[in-house]
Parts: sequence; C-alpha cells; structure tokens
Amino acid sequence: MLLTILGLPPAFLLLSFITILCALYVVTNTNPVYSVLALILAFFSISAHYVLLNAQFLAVVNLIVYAGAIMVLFLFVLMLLNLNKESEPIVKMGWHIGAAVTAGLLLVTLAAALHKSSEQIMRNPAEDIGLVKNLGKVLFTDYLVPFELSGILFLAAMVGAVLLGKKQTNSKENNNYSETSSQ
Amino acid sequence: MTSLLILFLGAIVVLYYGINKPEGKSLLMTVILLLAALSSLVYDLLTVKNRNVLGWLTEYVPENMLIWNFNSIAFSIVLVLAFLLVLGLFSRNNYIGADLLGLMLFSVCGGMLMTSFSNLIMLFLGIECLSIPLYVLAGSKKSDLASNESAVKYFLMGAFSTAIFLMGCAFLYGGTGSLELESISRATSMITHLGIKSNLIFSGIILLMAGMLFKISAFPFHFWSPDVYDGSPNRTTVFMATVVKIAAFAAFYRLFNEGLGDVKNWWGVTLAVSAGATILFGNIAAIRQSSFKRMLAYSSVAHAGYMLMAILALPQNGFWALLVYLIAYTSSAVSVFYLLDRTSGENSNFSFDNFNGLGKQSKWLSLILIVSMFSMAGIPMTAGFAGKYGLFSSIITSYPWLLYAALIGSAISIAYYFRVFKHAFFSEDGTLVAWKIGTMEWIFLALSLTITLLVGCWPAVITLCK
Repeated sequence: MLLTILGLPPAFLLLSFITILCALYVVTNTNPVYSVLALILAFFSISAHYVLLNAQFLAVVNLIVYAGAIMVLFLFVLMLLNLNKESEPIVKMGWHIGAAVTAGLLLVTLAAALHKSSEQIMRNPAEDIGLVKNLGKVLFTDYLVPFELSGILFLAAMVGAVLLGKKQTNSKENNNYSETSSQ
Repeated sequence: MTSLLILFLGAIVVLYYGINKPEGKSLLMTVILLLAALSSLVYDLLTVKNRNVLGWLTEYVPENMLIWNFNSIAFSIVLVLAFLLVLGLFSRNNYIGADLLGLMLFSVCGGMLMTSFSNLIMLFLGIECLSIPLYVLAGSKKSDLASNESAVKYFLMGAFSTAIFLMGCAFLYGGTGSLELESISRATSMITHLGIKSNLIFSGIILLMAGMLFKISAFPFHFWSPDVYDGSPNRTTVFMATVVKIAAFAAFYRLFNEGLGDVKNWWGVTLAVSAGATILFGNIAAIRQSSFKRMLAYSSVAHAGYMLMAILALPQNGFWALLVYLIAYTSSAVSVFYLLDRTSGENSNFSFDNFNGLGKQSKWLSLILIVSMFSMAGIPMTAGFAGKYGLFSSIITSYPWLLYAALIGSAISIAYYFRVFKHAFFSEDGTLVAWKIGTMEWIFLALSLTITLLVGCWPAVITLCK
C-alpha cells in the first residue's frame, strides 16, 4: 500500500533502500575492510539506479571505475596501512556531534527546499541520451573541446603523480632539505 | 583560444625538453611562452569587437564553450602577467625545474579556462585543471612535513568543495535546463520576472556559492587557507595567493555577476554577510600572528573579503573595481612574498624578526617594502587605495553596512602591515644576511613597483585600453 501512496516505482524504492542501508553500514562499521565491501555494494545499487534512468553507459562506467578500480585501490591502501583500533586518531565527541548536526541541517534544508520541486525540473527532450551511441555522438560533436581539454587534466595529474613519486635527485633541492630537516 | 593553445602545447614541450636536464633552459622557454601568450592576448584585446563590459546586453558569441570578450581577455592578461611576475622573482632562490614549470603552466591553462568559460562544464574543467597541479605543487617539498600536510589538507578540502560545486551545477541544470551561462541567465531572469520561486535553482545557487567561496577562502570556508599557505613552499604560496586568486575571482565574478546577476536578491545578502565576516575575521586573526607568512595568509583571506564586494556591485562598476584591485593586490603581494622568501634564507622560520635590519641593508628594498605594505593597507598614492576606493564606492548605495565593516577592517589591517616596519627600520639587532639580487629580479621588482605606483597615482590608466 505504501508504495502506491508514494507514487514511486517499487524498483526505485527497493534500490534506494539497499543503497542507504549499505551507506549506513559503511559509516557505522568499525572494520574498514567491511566498510569498503559495503561501499562496493552501494556502488552496484547506484549503477542500478542509472540503468533505471536509462543511462547505461554511466552505469557501466560507474561499475568499472568506482566498484572496480577505485575500490580495489582502497582495499590495497587499507591493507598497506594496516589500520586497527590502536592507530585510530582520537576525535573529540564534540566534533562528532557538530559534524552530525551540521550535515543534518544541510539534509533537512535541502529536503525541505526540494521535496516539491520535481515539477520544476526542466525535462530534457532527448530521453535516451544516456545510451552509448547517443552519448558518444554528443561527446565528439558538441562537447569535443571539453573532451579534449580533459586531456590536459589527466596529463597534469600524471605529471604530478610522477613528480610526487620519483626520488629526489636535484642537488639544490637536497641542500634545502638537509638544512630544514636539521633544525 | 590561441593563447590557451600556446600555453598548453608549450607546457608539453617544456616537460619533454626537461626530461634529462630539468634545470636547463626550461625557465627561459617558459618566459618566452608567456610573452607569446601575452602578446596574443593583447592582440585579441585590441581587436575584440565588443568593447562593452556589459557583455550580456550586447553581442554574445561563445566559441567552443569559451568566450573571448573584453572581460575575459582582460582577466586572462592579468593572470598571465601575475605568473610572469612570480616566475621572474622566484626562479633564482627556489628550485623551479621543468617538472614544476610544466605543472604551473597546466595550472595557468586551467586558470584561463576559468576566466573565459561560457559553460559550467568548462568552468568545472578549469577549476580541476587549476587545482590538481596545485595539490602537487603544495607538496613539492617532499621531505618537509608541513608541506606534506598542506598538500593533503588542500587536496581533501579541494575535492570536497568541488563535489559541492558539482551538486550546485546539477541543481542549476535541473532548474534551468541548460549548462550554458547565457541560457541560465535568461532562464533565471525570466523566472524572477514571472514571480516564480524555484527552490531547485535557489539551492543550486547556494551550493555553487559555497563551492566558489571555498576556492577563494572566504569566511565560513576559509579554515584551510592559513595552514596550506603556511606549509607550502614559498614559490607555491605566492602562486596560490596571486595567480589562483585571480582565476577564482574572475570565475566567481563571471558566474555570479554576469550569469546570475538578475537574481541578485536571492543571493546578495548571503554573499554580503560572508564578505563582511571574511574582512573582519581575516584582519583580526592576522593581528595575532607571530609568523609573517601566516600573517600574509590571513591578510589574503581579508583581501578576498574586499574583492567579494565587486561581485555584489553593478557590473560596470564591479568589473573595473575588481580588475584594479586584482592588479594592485598581485603587484604588492609578489614583492612582499619575495622579500619574505629572501629574508628567511634557507630555513623555514618566517617570523617578523627575519626583517630586522632590512632598512640598513638596502634602501631600494626598503622602498619596495614600504610601497607594497602601503598598497596592501590601502594608503593613498598606491594601487591598493585605488582598488579599495573603487570597491567601496561600488557598493556604497546597496550595502552600506558592509562598507562600515570594510572600513573597520582596513583600519585594523594597518596595525599588522606596519608592524614589519618596526622590525625593518627601528630594530638594532639586525641578523639579516645580505643576498645578491640578479638583474632579472631587479627588473621584475621595478615592474611591480611601477605598477603599484602608476595605478595608485593614475587609476584611469587601466581603463585606457577601453
């Protein structure tokens, strides 16, 4: 009965329920590895949302990039850092309460502002824009320049990663280092 | 577009050339590149058809989601000039190899996307392209723990603010049906004329504002900036204080004053409160600092508060006031950071005591210190006064209470700007070691001094290009 009152498709409600449950598990669980696994599940259900919105490309990319690559990276970092109870930084209770109140206020404000705004949404005329074919067409015609310019972004990120990862060989910089570290 | 391509392709060449010899001729190449980009921009400015700063009322022709009208070209010129000043003054004492130069050039490319965007996608790409090299530059002094801390802090805060910004973009897209700045402007003004209150657009604007306030380090979102400015190497701090600030303010101005100017009654008061709080907080916190670098970081927060006034002003006043203030702040901040960099020598202690005995050492450096500090405090005959005069007069009718806050803030700021004079000129125990100043440094110091005094004595020189 509830489902018909809300006027939302049952699939959407089920998926949202799973997503929120997983997200809560991520936040409340004390074991980081379980948190990451729950996060992967949350990403899967978000991908299912994309499928419901007819955005198949986004759904697949979300799975490959987030659930695939980034989460594996997360797990590796967690295992390398070897997190446990003892190494956990102690955060005062006041910070927890403050953060919860602030985030809750933002949630309440946004929910109050937006709960009846679905009629204000401008409908996109092309409903099947999320299909791979249409998206590709738009990406290589209308959005060609931003697409190319994102190349600068990735190049910059790569150069930055190399710069941070490489060994320091420059003598001038090393001199500065030894003097700063000797203080 | 030509200047953007010059900088981007040039950055790749600089990186490729510096694979084996990072310190070879890459600096010279970068300076030539910047001069080429600058001349291309000046050519664009002279040949631009539409010389009206009110771009929306007249012709508006975006090209590939970028627009090169009078406003954006003027901001881009200031951006490139600021980078040139930074390079000229900081390349001798600091290590700036091809890798760092390449990253800085990528960052400037992002800055130019931000000054000339006409689509929110471009703005987002510009912000990311500006920030990602900066996270690396902030942590580029790898063995220094403070530098590492500032890089991580800046990265986390930057990623968080970008997420908020993107959420604002999404709401605005939902409410107006477009990401194009002109369509957003038209849709929002139509909605206000019809008297409809669209919560979707309103929430989007507030989230966008929060994201932008993060980037310029204004009051509720300023907390990261003192730590990041303090911990980063000097070359990065000055880059953040000048180049990044110019790009962020140009984007903020173009997004809010040009794009969303018709719905100013929705966001005006929020932004005005933030500006007033930024000015008061920045100035009061700066007094309490014992480190000169941290003082400059808080003063840059305060300057961001003054510049927010330009976004609240009417477009014809706001644009010129912001341009003059950006030039004034950049030219004086670069010289002050240069003096800070050289007086602290090799160590990472930036207290006021480093300046002890500067007056005895060199009268030209003393003159530069005095003029820059006067300009930052807003004493007449310097560029800072011209900038503050323009900003204050542009909001005097609409937000008089903000003007009072700004005047109180300026009065407070004199206390800490002039504190360094006590150390430089009246302190007996001078431990300052004289350093050798190269020809290039003299040229750029003289350039920044000339800009500060020229704009201060004759502010109309900026509007000549019209």
